[in-house]
Amino acid sequence: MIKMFRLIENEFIKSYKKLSTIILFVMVFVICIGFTALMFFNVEQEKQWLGDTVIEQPDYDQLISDAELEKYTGYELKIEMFEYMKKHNVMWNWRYEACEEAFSYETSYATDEDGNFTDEKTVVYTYDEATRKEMLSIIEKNDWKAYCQYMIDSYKKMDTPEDLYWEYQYRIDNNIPFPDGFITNEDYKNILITDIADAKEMIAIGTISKEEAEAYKNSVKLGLYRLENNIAVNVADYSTEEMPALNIWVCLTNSPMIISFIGLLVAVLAGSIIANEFSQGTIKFLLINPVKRWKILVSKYITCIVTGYGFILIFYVSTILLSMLFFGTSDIGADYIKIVNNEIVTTSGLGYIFKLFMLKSIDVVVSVTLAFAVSSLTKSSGLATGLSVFSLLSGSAIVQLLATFKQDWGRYLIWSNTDLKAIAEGNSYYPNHSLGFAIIVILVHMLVFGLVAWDGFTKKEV
Amino acid sequence: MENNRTIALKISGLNKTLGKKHILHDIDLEAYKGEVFGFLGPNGAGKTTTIKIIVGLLSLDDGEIEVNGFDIRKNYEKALEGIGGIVENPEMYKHLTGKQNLRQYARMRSGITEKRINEVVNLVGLSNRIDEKISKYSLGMRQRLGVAQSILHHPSVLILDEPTNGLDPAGIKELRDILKELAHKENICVIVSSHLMSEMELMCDRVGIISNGKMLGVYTIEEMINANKNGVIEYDIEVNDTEKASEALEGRDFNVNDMIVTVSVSSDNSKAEISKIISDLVKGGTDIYYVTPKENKKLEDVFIEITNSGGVQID
Repeated sequence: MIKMFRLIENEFIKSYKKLSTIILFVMVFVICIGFTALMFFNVEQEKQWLGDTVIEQPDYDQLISDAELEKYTGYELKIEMFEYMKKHNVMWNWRYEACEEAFSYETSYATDEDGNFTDEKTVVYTYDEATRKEMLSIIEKNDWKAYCQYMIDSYKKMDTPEDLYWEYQYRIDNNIPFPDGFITNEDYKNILITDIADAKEMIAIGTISKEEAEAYKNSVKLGLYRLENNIAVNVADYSTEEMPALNIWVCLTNSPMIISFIGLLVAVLAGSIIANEFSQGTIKFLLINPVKRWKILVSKYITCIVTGYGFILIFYVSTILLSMLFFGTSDIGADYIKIVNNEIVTTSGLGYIFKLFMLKSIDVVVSVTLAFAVSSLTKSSGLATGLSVFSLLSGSAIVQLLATFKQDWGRYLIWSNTDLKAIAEGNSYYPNHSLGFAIIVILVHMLVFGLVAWDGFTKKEV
Repeated sequence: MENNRTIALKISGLNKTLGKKHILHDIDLEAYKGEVFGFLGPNGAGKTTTIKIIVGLLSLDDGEIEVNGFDIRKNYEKALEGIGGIVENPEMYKHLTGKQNLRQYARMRSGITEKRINEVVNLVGLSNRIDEKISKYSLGMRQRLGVAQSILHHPSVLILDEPTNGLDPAGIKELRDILKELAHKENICVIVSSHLMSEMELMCDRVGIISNGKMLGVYTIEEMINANKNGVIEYDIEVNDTEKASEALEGRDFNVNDMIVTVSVSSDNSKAEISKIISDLVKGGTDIYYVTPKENKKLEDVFIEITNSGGVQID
């Protein structure tokens, strides 16, 4: 055991005193800085782009002239409404909705003396004068609580299910006013409230499938949990289609893809660690020692794997530190919150990113093992590194192509199985692709590569 | 030494085929502690192959090799612990310093201290340059470092393949002295391969001759001399007056060339004879500047005769 440590120490000294390895280290840092900076500028740009669409007042003059032109039924009342809105500076928020409610009208055909309908249409306000006055005064006083109360009362009168007016009650209870205009994606409480209200509505209406209903229920539960605990950022949002807040997590949740680059870099080391001993002639120096060859082989492999994971760890830590530098530290403590079997499960966001890194690290292991095996078999570092890089770069394209042409055997290839995250989430190219199957395929490949390396090295006559 | 011989390396019935070529045929060899054993043969005779098998770089097809009584196949690590060596050129990690290279080696062995490393570096005369990178070393310096590396762990068998390659004459002499000292004082079995008889003669106690993958025989240097030339040794004597010398040497087998007289004496009794000749010359009033035995040429001839190297084809 001690002997093995010494062998590994030797390999580390040999590798790390080499200029090429130092260059690899520098490249990991450069990639890390480049990536975080790129993400930062990207996010800033997007923020700016979103920032242009700030809360605006609708163009009432345009709306009025349109109505005058079209002269649809009741357009006079509409124009009256727009005039009113213009006068009171009503913007795209609850007041706009309230106005539409107050000025809502009903169209009916007038009746003649006999009670028969005539062609003449009459337009009348839906609400009586007193109610309208009350509503307008709420709008003029900008009293959102009164508006909520009014909405609640009117829903109650109609005997509607509670879920449909939950939002108004919640806003009053928790003193959360409506947003002043468009909901920006920084304003998490209003986003959550809207999402929950939408979900509750969908459930209440009940025209959705069981699975959909389940998903909506979960989103309600999660949303309420976040509102109760004032959780602004949920890291889980960054892996879904929804547009989450633009902050440090955009960078961090995307960072695991850089691990493929680390795979390329470590393949250079793994491809040369055996081949170089032969090309320098130092293999004789190495093998005349009282150490069995397999021990030397294993020490070299361990060196490559440790270096690979070392790079990943360096990358993990420096990406976090650098993105804290770029984005600030305010959101770094965010959690990854998900509902599993009706239970809210919270893990730290950084822990979740680490998990993503580890899942993605399989790329590095595969690339290192392949380069190592070829290096041992052919004693050519160029071929070993080249093949490994080729595998990393075009592997997924190959399996994608095979899947497109319905070649089901493609699922037995290593490249179909390395994206553990996608497989776990059911996003594999192949149907019914389980995580267990993927792991077995990976293990079998690693075993074959390992045997090739073993045979190439221990049987070789120097 | 003659009476108390411990076998350090024992090879019996060694056979090796590389590809379709039968490189080694039934090699038998015994080398003892405390001797410098020369492994002599023309290029391509199988010296390096044999050495590579002994140090574990090549596998053996048939036969047995024991180091300190440990079988190299059954007890690989134990057997190799007793061996130190340089095979072909002393290749080192060029991006490391001399000392870092030695430390690499030390980590693969047990019980080598930093003190031992310094001691060995001193012995091979590299103390001043040991912290330089190997890429700056000359071949001679690498050869020295190779020797240092091979004796670091106090091996009982030290195997050096063509160790004088690339060394200057002073370096060769130094190496020769180091090897002799290691063998005779530290009781190590030193095995040196070479294709130069003259080199062997100066440092070896015994010489094994290999040609075309077959062991032709093992001889002491004396045996080689005596076994040949009908027991005659020639001495060159430089004198101040050849006429006086000729008078004094009346009746002996000699010839004169310039101021040098070459005398042939029987090898059975060569020391007594030459001492008698010297005293005769002095008594006859001749000044003697030097007396030197003229063996070199003859041993080279012996070697060529034994290996029949004139007609050997390298394959």
